[in-house]
Amino acid sequence: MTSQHKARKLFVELQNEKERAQQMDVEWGRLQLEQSTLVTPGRVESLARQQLQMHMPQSDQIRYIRSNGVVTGLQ
Amino acid sequence: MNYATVPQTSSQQALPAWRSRVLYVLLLTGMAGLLARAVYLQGIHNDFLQQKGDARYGRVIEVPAHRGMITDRNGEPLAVSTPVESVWASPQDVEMTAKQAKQLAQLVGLSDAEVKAKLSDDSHDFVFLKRQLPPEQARQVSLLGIPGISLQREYRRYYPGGEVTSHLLGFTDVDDNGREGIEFSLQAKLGGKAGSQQVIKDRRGHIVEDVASLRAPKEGSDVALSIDSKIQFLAFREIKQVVEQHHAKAGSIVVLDAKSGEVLALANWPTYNSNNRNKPALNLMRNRAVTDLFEPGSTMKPFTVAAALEGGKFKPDTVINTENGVWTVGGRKIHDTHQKRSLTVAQVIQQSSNVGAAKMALSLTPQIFCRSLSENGFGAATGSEFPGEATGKLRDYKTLRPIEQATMSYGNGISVNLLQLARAYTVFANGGELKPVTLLKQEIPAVGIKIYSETTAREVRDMLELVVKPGGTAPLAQVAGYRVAGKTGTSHKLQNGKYVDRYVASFVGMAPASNPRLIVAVMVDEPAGSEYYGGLVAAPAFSNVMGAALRTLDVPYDAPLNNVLQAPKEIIGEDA
Repeated sequence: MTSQHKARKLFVELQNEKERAQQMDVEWGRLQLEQSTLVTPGRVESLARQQLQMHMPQSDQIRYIRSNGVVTGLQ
Repeated sequence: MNYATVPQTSSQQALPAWRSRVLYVLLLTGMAGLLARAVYLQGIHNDFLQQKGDARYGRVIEVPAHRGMITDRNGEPLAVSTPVESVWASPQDVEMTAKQAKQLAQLVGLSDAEVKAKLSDDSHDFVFLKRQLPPEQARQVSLLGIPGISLQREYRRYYPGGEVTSHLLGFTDVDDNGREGIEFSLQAKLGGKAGSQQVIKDRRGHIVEDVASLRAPKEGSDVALSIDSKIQFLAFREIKQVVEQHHAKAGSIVVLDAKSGEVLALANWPTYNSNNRNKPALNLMRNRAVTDLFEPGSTMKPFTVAAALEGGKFKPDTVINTENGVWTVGGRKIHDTHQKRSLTVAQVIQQSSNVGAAKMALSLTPQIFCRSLSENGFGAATGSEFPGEATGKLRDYKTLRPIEQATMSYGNGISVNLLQLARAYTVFANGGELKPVTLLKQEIPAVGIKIYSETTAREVRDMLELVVKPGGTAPLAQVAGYRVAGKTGTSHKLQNGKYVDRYVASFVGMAPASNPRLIVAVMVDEPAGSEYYGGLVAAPAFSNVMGAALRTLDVPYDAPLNNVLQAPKEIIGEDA
């Protein structure tokens, strides 16, 4: 009798944990989706261009630091 | 009372013996009948009865399996399944008030009448009211607590990239089976196996779940593609822009890793959004880079030249008589756009001379010429396993007439898809080795097939570098900081067997030319307007995508940053 009661209690506990795991699974999927939607290159680019007023540097605005420490670039 | 003392009459004693025997037999038969019935019910007929009994309260419901995720090569999700709930009803068991009915209809987004119609169908004991409801709404439905109405977990596919990746990935149907693209071709790997679960129904028709799991669902596995989502976006944005700018019918772009043959990006315009459940129009659904054939035009010339160099009769500086731009083969004239008395082999590529290419092709036997094309993968599937790939067909060398061999040398009378064409260029990027293309991420670079010698491959690549220099057909393909090697193509379109004045403009190239990392192939179908040369329409798109992709991948420069030379006002157009 005692063991049967215990088994039932454990089963209920297992069900609860499963439920929790499932809820977290749902949440994870949602967050993953949300994150990947927020970081789509298209969105990042339009934010950078419009909100932050960024643009691609012209080739004469780029300086290169060689591995020997010499800075090169075009004036 | 003492019965023994009751006097018994003789007539009673004279009761015939058969009566007790009859009674005895009757009882025995009755007993036998009952026994037989019991054996029948408990033994022979048991399964059926058990089943009927279970059917009164038990239900077996399907437990869907999670479909594997598709990611790009860096693990960015491209297609994700998230759980949603579907609302289903068992019409006989449904009892609800008018108010509940109204709330239910509102939650599942149907009209009252529609809900009623679905529930009045008593012939089924399973009816979907609404599939794929967001979890929030589904919870509210279950809070209504209507007997006979239950939720079932399902998965819905989302594509964060939307239309950027739609042709590549395709989509799944409402039952989570792949219908197009990679979702379709990798269905066996992505799709899980649904499990089943037994549930029981209580007196009021509510479902009590988790009685027993009959079969656990088997989850689908994740798939990592060779795609780089950043380059995919760059390629998509550019092809869209080019097609719109030139009011073209369509356009495609393919970016390959030159060393491994992996597809880094593949995009077309026009396209559709795979998140949208409405079935898109067929012409939007076509993944043109793979399913559509076109005549490549001059982008074929490097293969002609490579075959001629391998043949040993030509060197890059061999001078060819180009007959002032008109040459007659088998009664048909071959034209060049610019009349030159003679050109070297390298100049034939640089200025895209049809006469020169035809002469080189005809120096080879039809057999050798055709074999060299088929070795480069023309006329055969690329092995990308993309559904619906069109392979094109090569002519049989035995019936090839000289004029046909001549036109094939500059890409007329042969059709290819863009992926095939891009793949063929891997021979010039890998010292003569043709790489297999794949859409799946490769851990170790695939081994290709050696077709040309190292020297031939390098010589052709050097010629292709001349194409983007001033004096070539595609100075607009230059990229700051990198040496570029490539070839333009412009071909008339065929309509009812006749060439018409509509064009396909293309450019295929690789960079950095000193040690190619990427191959980009651009194809624009029917650019409307005065500009239709590959060097004017496709080359700028190539340059933009190639430059941005090389920077994204941090590929070291192999040229000074001021290498981009101003193109002359008049760009040499290759013959169309």
